[in-house]
Amino acid sequence: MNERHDEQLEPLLDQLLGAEEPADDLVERICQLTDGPLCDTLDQAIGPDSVTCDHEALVRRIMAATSERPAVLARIGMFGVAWRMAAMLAVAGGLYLVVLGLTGSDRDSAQTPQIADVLPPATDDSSNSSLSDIEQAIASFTAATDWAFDQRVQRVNSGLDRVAAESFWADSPVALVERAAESADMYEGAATSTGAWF
Amino acid sequence: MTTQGSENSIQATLAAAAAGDESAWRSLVEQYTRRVYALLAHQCRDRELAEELTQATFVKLFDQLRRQDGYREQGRFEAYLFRIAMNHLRDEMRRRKRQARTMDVNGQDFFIPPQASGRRQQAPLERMQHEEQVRKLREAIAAMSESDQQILHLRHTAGMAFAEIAETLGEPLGTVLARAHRALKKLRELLGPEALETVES
Repeated sequence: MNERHDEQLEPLLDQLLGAEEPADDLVERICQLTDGPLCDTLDQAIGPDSVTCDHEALVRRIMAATSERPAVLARIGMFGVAWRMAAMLAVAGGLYLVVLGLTGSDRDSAQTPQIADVLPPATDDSSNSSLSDIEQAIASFTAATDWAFDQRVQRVNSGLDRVAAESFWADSPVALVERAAESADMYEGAATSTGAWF
Repeated sequence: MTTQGSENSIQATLAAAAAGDESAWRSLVEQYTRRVYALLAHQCRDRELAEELTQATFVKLFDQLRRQDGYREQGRFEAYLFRIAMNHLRDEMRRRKRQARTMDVNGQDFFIPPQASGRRQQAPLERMQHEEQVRKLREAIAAMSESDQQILHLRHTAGMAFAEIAETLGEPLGTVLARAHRALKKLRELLGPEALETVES
């Protein structure tokens, strides 16, 4: 019967090859010719019941996997929100530190008093300055420097200002006071020599 | 092989399962598990892997049903379901970097003996003959190309209509019919005239 069927089928199949929507009657005829006694045996040989399977156990397993699914997804969703919030906070914190690091040194230099701001200008009329004026200037400068020092120490200790930490010793009040003292010596010398003239 | 009426019934069950009806979901699982598992088991020749992939297939379907923008009816449900199963199988096979056909295709613990799956009681001699036919048939199928095996399994293991197979494989219906016919022709050749006569008798 197979050769006879093949003779009938081959021309039909050649017509069908590549056809997206062949005529229903043609398909039906081909199916009838294709399906035969061999296909009945095939259904038994490789049909759904041909392989070993604990069907009930598999159904239970699938039901368990899918019934746990919403809870698992909800937990993943909650974790997802938490992770997103944590990531946003981390990014915001990082940005804050970067901005602080970039602007911190400039702000410190603006806040730190400079010796030139408090000392009388070293000009020819320095003869008008008295020693007490200079001492007062140094005292006010030291007080201002102490405040700046405290601020910087706090920032360095908190680890927020890396730039401040690097320049901490270079701009330390000790160095500033030494420079002020040098200037004071210079003014005192100038005043003494000027006084000797009077 | 689904009819229009059963397809409508499946659509109703799908809608109920998507709305959260657990009994509808269970009914879908019970209805299709055996066929999905059998198709995967025949293709991968690994019982445990077939079980895992069957579970993964239904979990994927479940997720699609529950998503707002998930499963949309664009064709036959069976074609959609078996496409998920075959995609899972293909991905897993790629991952494992091994050929499905290297497994023991005639393993005694893999195939159910024909008499156990037969529908009617047989006399001992008739039963032995039938077992022998089925064994030869399985051997012949195992010797076929993967492409030919695939079309036979989709037709006889998954029990799909040709139109559904065409949809699953994304091939024209005519091509699928031609493939099926030529696969059967090759199977007849492999069986030989004598075995074929007994199988078809």
